[in-house]
Amino acid sequence: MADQVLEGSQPVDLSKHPSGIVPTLQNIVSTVNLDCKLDLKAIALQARNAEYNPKRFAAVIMRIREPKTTALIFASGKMVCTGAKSEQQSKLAARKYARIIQKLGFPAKFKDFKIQNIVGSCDVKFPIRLEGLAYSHGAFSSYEPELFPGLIYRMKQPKIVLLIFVSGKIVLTGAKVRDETYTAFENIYPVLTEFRKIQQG
Amino acid sequence: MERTCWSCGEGRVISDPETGARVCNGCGREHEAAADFVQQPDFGPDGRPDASASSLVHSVGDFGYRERKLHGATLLFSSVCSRLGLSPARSDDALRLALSATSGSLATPSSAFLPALAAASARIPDLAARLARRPLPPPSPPFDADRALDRAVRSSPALAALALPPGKADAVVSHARFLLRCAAKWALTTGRHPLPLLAAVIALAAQINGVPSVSVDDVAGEISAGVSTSRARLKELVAALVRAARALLPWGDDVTPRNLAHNAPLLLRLMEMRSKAKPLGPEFFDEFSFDPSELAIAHPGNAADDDEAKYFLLNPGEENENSDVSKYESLKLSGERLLDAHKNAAEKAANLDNAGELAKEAGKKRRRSGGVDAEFWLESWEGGWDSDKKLTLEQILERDVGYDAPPPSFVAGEESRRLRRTKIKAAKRRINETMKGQSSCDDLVVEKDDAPAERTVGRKRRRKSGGGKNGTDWEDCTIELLLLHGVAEEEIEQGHYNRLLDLHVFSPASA
Repeated sequence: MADQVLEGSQPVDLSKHPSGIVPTLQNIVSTVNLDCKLDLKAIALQARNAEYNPKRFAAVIMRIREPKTTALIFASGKMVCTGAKSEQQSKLAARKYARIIQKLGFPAKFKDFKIQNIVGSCDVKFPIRLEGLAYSHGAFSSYEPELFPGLIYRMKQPKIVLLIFVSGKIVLTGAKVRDETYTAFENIYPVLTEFRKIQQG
Repeated sequence: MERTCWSCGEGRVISDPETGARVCNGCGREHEAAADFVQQPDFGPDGRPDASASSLVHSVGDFGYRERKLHGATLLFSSVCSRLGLSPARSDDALRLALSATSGSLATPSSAFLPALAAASARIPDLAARLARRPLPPPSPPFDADRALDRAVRSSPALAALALPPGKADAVVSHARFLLRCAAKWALTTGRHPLPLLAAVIALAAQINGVPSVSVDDVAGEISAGVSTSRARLKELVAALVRAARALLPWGDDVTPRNLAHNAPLLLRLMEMRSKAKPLGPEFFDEFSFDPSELAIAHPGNAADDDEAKYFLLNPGEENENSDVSKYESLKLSGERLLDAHKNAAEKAANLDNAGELAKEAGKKRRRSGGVDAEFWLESWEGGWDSDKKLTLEQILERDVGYDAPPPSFVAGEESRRLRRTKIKAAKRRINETMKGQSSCDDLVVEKDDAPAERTVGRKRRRKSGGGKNGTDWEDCTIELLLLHGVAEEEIEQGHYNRLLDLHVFSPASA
């Protein structure tokens, strides 16, 4: 069993990920409609895992530990769930929040669950010349080192925003499904290799 | 007689000049209706309603104040547009624009705002078309580091207070410019705010030129750069130069951040020459091989202490033999002897196959005098790449200064990956020890070089020996846990422990 346990790595599907690198999902943001008006003060008073400060933010902030997520619950019955590491976890967490609201005495339903944003990241393991990339892909890139150290690349198809850093680390955001993240990375990878900072010494 | 509207409480009730009705000029509520009269619609020759004729009569009962106001405003609007020479089509466009700009309410016909609105709406499509035809203004120019550097040095109160000799400020600018280009080549500028780096290169250049009283804090304060960021940039630049010295100078192993200022003039000169040299083959490196035995030959009668002299003198027994150069590469030189050693190394540098004029002149001088004066090399600093004003980044990157450094963030990432890899190995070894016993895990011995004795995190040092048994800390325990849950080592190497714990350990699906 130990051998099996310690040999945990699975080969990357090169047909789907020709670069050999699979972006890891870091955050999933989803929304759901509980379809009932909510008394946020009552929720904050009854639930131990909730905080509510109407002067600061007009929603109850609720947290659960499994899956470790945070939800913003609005009086209109709309809910935003953040912090999940996979789509399934996000849906499971949203259901748990809905169940908590139900237990607090509100007729909460679970309508229109939707993944709104997927954030992924990866490391290409080589440094990137951001200046060259910004110059040759000026239509898609925004590189302002005085404002932000990374290059912001707005890919058109799929419509994904990539933050590219000189260290070779990449952040991909704006996807609704994980395949968009994967496609965006496979699209940008050849471009990144073109602007790889070559070491002479 | 005017009174306040009872409906809104703010507007004044005025008499509508067209209908005679008493209306509120704020909310438009009608207070006293004028006598109703019926509109007799007029029709033109084509059978369509005649707007000009119908404008003469109104049916107060059919339209409220708002409609009448809009009607009047539209007529006045059309009149202004026709006086401006607009065609009916363009007049309609202008009206649509004005309606959208005022959320469909236009303006009171008697107000001065309506003709202004009409005129502006008539002109805006024209302006938009003109702007579309005209190319966009050029983007704002990028930060000109060279100019900013020059300005910062010349106007620096700290440097001015020292009353430097005439050429000194130029030398500082020149060295700072060269350092700035080296920094660009070594990706120290990529993704960074330029001002702190500027402060760092000026401070270092001042130090190199014998003006140590100008600190990076002073320069940062003068050019409004972040002081702590400037210090961090200086530290990075010094670290990169030390690595360059280790790669380029024969005594490079002895170069440290503390004695860099002594070695920097020669190092920068050497890098400048390398950057101007034509691409060379392997014979270049053969020619520029450093023979440390000459160090000893150069100082036979030096009145150095015996302890220090031992670094320069070869083993007497082997003096006449063809010694292995690698033996002497590890010779330790004292800081005081480095300047003397520079001179000898500079003599060897004369053998560089340099394509520039400098090399030719140096060659002539060598032939004349039978040797090379190191001062000639050091004083012949021509200002780095000053002769090539306005180099693009691509051109800077193409220049070979003899050493290339990866970006600091990349190095930090590599280092943390290496540390995690070591920890993974150690965790696997511990797991195997527990499962199979000591003897079966000899193949998983952690190399001593890889073992992270201590790690610097910011200013604080975190020792490896934590509170756990066998010196394990929370990270080791997390890695063990992840390994036992079958997480891939490549994923653990990335260091996203919380994510992996959520996915593989605490997730109900994995349980």
